[in-house]
Amino acid sequence: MRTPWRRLRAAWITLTGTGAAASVAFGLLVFASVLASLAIPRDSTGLRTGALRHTVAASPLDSAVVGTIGLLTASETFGQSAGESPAPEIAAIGARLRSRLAATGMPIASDPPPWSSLTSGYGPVTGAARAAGRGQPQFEVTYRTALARYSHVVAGRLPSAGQGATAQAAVTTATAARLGLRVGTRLTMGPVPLVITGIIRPVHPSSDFWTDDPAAARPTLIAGTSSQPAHWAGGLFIGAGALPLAVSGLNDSLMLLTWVVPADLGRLTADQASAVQAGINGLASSGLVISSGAAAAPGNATCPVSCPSTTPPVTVTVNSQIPAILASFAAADNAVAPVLGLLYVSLAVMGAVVVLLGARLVAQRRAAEFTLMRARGAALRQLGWLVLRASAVIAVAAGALAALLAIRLTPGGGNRVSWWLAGVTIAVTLAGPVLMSVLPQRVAAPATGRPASRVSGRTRAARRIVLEAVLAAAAIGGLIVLRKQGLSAGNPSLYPSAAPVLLAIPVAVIVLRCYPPAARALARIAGRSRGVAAFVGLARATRTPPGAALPAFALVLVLTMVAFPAMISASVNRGQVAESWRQVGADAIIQAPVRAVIPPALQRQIAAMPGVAATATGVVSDAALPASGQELTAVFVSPARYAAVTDQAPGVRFPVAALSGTPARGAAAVPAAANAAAAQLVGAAPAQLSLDSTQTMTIRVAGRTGGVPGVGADAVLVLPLQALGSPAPAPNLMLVDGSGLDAAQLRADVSRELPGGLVTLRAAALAAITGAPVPQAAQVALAQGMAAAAGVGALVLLLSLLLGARTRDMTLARMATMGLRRWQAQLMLVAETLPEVVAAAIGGAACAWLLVPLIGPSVNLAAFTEAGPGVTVVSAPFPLAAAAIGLVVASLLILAAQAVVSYRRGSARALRIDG
Amino acid sequence: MTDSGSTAPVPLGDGGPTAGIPQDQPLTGADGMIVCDRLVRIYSGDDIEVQALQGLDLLVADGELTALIGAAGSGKSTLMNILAGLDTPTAGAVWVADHNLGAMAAKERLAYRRSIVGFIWQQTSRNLLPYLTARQNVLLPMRFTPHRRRERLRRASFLLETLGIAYCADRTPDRLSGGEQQRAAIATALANQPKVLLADEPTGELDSSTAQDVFSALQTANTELGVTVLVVTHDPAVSSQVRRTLAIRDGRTSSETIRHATTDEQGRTALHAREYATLDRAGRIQLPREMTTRLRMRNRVQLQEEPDHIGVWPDQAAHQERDHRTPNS
Repeated sequence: MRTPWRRLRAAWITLTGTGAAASVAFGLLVFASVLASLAIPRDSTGLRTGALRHTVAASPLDSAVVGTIGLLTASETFGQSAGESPAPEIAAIGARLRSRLAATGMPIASDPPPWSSLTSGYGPVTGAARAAGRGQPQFEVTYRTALARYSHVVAGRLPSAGQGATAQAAVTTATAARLGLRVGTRLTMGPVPLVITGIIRPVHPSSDFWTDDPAAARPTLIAGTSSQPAHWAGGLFIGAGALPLAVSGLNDSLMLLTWVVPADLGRLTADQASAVQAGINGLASSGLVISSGAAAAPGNATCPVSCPSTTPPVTVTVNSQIPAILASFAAADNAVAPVLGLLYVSLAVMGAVVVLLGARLVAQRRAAEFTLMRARGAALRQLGWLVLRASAVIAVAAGALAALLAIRLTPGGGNRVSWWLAGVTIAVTLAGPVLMSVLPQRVAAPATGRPASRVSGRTRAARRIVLEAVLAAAAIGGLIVLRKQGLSAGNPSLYPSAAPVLLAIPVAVIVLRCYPPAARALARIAGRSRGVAAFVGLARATRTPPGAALPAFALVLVLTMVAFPAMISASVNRGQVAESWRQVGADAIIQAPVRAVIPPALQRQIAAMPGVAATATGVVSDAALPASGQELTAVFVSPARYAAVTDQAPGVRFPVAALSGTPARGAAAVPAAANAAAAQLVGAAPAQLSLDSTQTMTIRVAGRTGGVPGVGADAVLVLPLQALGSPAPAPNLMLVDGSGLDAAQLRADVSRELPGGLVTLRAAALAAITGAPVPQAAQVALAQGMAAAAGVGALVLLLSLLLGARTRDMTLARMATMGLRRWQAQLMLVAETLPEVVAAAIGGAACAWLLVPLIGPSVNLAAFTEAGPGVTVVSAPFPLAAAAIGLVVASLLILAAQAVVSYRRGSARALRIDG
Repeated sequence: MTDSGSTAPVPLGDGGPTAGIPQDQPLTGADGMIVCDRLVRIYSGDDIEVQALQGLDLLVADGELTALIGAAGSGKSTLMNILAGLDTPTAGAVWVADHNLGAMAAKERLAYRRSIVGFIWQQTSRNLLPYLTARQNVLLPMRFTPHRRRERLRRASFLLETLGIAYCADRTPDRLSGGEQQRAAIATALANQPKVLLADEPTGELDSSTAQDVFSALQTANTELGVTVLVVTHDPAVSSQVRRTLAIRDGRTSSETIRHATTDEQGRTALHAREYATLDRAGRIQLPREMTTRLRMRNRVQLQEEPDHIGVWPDQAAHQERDHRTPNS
């Protein structure tokens, strides 16, 4: 009796045929590809979203959208009849605003919730306490939605929604205390009688509800003028029921309508940021136009205030600081997008190649089966259906598992691109095996295990030349067109994204053309030696197997995608270090407070600290050029020691030679090193320099220097300390060289010996640069992409070796019957495979090297380094060599594994299989 | 369907030699199941051309079991592949069951492979899908045609029983002996009720006893199912059991052997074989090499017409000249 397991196994074998094992491998590839295509973009989105949230959290700006219709009389605003409440219309406009904002993708906060208000101008109120020496208090009457959510009733109750002859109002505890109000107090504001029904305490006191109009929360003392004395101004919160009375009674008062929609930017994802920014900017520039009657929702008491068709449309002015919050993130994100884009596009192409290679493996394993079926009368359509059925089962199962795992691994990283990529992967998974299996069977053939080909070798060679030439020409043409269009059409990410793939095509063609002759030359050399393994291996290597272009292209692209991002990473690291040097100028700077000096004991302590390599001191002094009256800063240093410390920094070398041989005080002009601004002020001729209005000396610019560490002035002169005479004054600036110094101890020493002294560390500046949210997220994504590319490379190697495994096993088996030893077999494998891998490694390295000048100008790394423009990717031999060596080592490891498997299987089986 | 062109076909006899048919008339036959007319197949390599078939003529009558013998490279497999619809001739014409293989489109060729011919290859492992049982393998070709499932199952069972392998219907090929595999392959080839069964050295990998079983299966297909069988073989045991054996040499049919049985007065049956040289439609014959060597026939011979035969004589003048030049010989 057959067990369910055996039934399942039989069904599986019937489905996948002779390619059962290959189908499992294919399923794993599909799994890996779908997982990568989903997880990497989702994870990248997650990283970028994390960076966005970090940016949002660090921003002091307000994250709400405020819509206003301001400074209109109530009748101008609504044109309503007396006795009708505008509250529904206010709510409807608020709903429209929220709807428009939600359409941009902005997440609207629910706590604190959106609110709206109608606020009158200030008017004198009778009935409130009048402070001594102050004028009559003035109040604004404000109707606010969500008052109950933003306040806590301390006494009484909130104003009711029902209408009445007297308007009910609430005041804050601060207003009540200041102006002597309590529950039941009756007030009169113009013609409107009011009664205090409740005292409230603000909830969410830092929210816009309470900070947008400070007088509403707490009375404000208004300074007196010639026409009226100083007085308190406060706010009265009325309910919806009092609105008709207030609007009609305060008809001549200027009204301000406000809608505030707080955003929950913590829920905003990186991919939504640009749309939200653009949407809010659009609303801010054009406003929210409310046409006649449109504000009232249909069926909602249909325009409770009268909405005559003649009423002109009103425009709600929209303001928000959200675009400003998002701007810094968007700028950095847009800057790193081309770098990540090129990685993802190449990864997608590599994934497709891997799936196609897997499909070819399946097709190769089932070729004999399909040939037999064709000979027995199977139509191509029937073969295609057989293959599609098998690949669909594998693709759906593997794809679903991969999708589940990807979602589990990267929660909350929703990304539409990732689903598209996964969809394309599945499509390739379904179409690839069908095409790979069916196309070789177009012509039915005897069941020899090989599909028929009625095309002569010469024709095939001609076809290959034409195909390669067309591909290479199209790729180069694409590069040229994209470079011109991409850089000029304002879409700079298109060109660098596609460039690696396009460049890899001609490089792969060249590799495939060049390596067989090289292998033949090596085979000739090996043929002269006594050993047989290397000769046979190289002889096999000289044959370019059909379909070798795909793995070669993939390997070139893989190596490019490992080496090029590595070069980007190295360039970023260099740029970040350079920026930290530019910002600080030494490993540590100690600056004395104004009019203080660094004590000699502290200098000695610092110099003796572990990790300190060298120190230099300086006297920073304000200076002026008496001739022109221009002010600058003079720094007196010991040139040699100063140079020893500051020359660690990249950039302009300090001209120590120009400042040596300093004349004694009072002698000829003192040589000075000037930065650009100072050199312009001083000029080439000797000039008088006045120090702190107490000392004058003649100086001449003897050399140029960059900025001086710790001195932020525009124009700086560096002069020899001896120019100040002997004994030299105590320094107020100390520079420290030593990357391993103990920052905590340094700070403690300075704090103890020099209270108020300022310690600036380059390591801290570097940490701030490297820890910036967006660059850090981009670096992580870059590293992940490189790892994924390396993984894909290993898969490509494995697959290309598997594709040739059968014939290789056969050769090994035949050679074994002739007495080939195991180590010779391994040597043969290496000799056969390594030329192709080395050629691909060289091609990939060349491709990555070429990419630097090709797309380097399009990739600005300033966003990674927080430096100004000009930080570009620079060629670096180490990442190239490391990637190429890694590829070769990986292929050797896979070959060793195959040799072990082949040896264990034994030659008899290989020979029997072939027979 | 016959596509014989505008020229009227010449009726054939019982599948005998084709001599006497005028060259300007195509070779076909009212009861000829396989008809090859001046068949040429040239394989073009990069710099060389190989003529596998050089104007081969062949007639196999409906219901005949014919053996095809010849040295390696003589063109046997090429001919079989053309007859199976897996290859196309460079020149000449070939009809199988009234199908002109040279004039068929891809779709017709597919239908031809499905329903008209069955094929068995020498290597037992390549005739059957290794992961299917014998019954499933037999069912496979029928799945390419619109047979009903019940009909397919009935046909498969019938074939397996007829060929004596019903007991191993549910075994996969790796659990079948070589002979069982080849009989399963014959059943698979017969699945769609073909009119012609082509077997390319079906006993080549088998011992003599098993080969006899397989040949019996072919005979069963021929006698019980009425299928015309053309079998390529190197096995004398096989070729000696068929009524007609054709020999191919250098891409042409060179000779054929006709066997007929006689029964003596005691009722004992004896098989008599007579070998004929093939006279092609240009009037050419291939003389057996052992005869030409023994009679020292080279370059040219003398023909002497007699009332009831033609005498072929060595060139006497050339003999005398050679003997004169080499007195010691």
